[in-house]
Amino acid sequence: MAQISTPINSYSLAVHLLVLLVAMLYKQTKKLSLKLRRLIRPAKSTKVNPAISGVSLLQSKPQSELIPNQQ
Amino acid sequence: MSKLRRLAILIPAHNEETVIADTIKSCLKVVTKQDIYIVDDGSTDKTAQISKKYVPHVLSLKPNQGKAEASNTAIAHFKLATRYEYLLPMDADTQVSQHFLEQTLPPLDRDKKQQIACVVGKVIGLKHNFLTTYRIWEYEISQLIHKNAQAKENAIIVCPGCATVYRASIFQQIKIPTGTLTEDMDLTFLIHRQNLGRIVFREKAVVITQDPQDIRNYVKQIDRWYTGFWQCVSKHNIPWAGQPLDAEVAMLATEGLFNGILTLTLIALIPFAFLNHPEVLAIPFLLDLAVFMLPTFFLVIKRHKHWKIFAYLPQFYLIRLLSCLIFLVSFIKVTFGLDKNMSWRKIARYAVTK
Repeated sequence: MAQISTPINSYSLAVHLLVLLVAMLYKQTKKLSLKLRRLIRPAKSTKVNPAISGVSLLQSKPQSELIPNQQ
Repeated sequence: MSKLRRLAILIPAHNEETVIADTIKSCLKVVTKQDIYIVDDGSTDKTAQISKKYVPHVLSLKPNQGKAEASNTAIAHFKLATRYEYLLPMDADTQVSQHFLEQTLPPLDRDKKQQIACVVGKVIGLKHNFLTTYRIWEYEISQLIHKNAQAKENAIIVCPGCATVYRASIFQQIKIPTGTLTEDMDLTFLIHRQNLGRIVFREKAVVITQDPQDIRNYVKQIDRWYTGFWQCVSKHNIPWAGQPLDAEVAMLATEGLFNGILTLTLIALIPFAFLNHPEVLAIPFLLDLAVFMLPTFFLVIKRHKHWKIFAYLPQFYLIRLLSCLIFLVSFIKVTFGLDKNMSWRKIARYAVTK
């Protein structure tokens, strides 16, 4: 493996540690903002509207399983 | 469209009879023998015969073509770029860990838009003496800190020739470049330059490689690496293409040059320091020890349980200074065209002791 090690690590080590720190902070901030958003917005009602659910059920069924119209 | 096979392992080998069997055995733990391809690059020992005992696909080339050219010939001969989804080139002295593919393939599989060109694993060395311990320490810093940060910047500067799974289709667009002493770094720069995709780093995907056990081989190896680095810098017009790679390489190159000059200055200061002002050398040494050496030593101890590293502290300082000087010399060689007759300097191999 060819690699450039930096035998006397000076500024590249500092720069790379900073990059890792910023990346970590960004990730944590993103996680936190997601959590906060969930806390601020109340969870949606779990009550099911029978009419809507009926439609969606019918739409989700494969064509072969649908009952054909009575002649 | 015919169904592609999943992954091929390609091992270019030149006089590797000491290690080739162990390498093939480690590969057989992760793929079938049908998916292992050996290219015997003009060996004069029993590399080909030993390989044929384990795998059916062995291509012998005469005369020796060099690692990159031999790999290109094998990729074309076995049609690896069109028959396979992924390609793992492997060094003949390297052993792949059992979980390597479990770590490297999922990111490529999930990437339906094919935005990832390759996934890079982590290289670790074996403990033998102060030199191999130095390399373990160096690998830890360079991969845990530098490579992880480079991955975030999309500026990984080298996909190790022994620890990278490539999307095989990229070899329909490019060949492994020749003309430098570090074909893996050259290939990595080419992937950046041609915008072939992102390079992902997976620290948990591990390969175990052999490192030099004596100073002579160590110098040979880093001289090749550093000279290859400067050849790649010159070949790929760094730092003038405006990619993150340019900024990253420019930073490492200037730092390396600065370190080389600093080393020369420190050497020149030794008589003065001993006679009049010992603090001239003592202060930088103590600072380096406290800020850099000791924290990184503890890092290695934590990850490798290698307490003996403390005993090697004086040798580590000598190797660091030597490396800085070689980096400076390699820059001068490439800049003034003194590297033209350089060949791929192979280091001594040794059988792995269980």
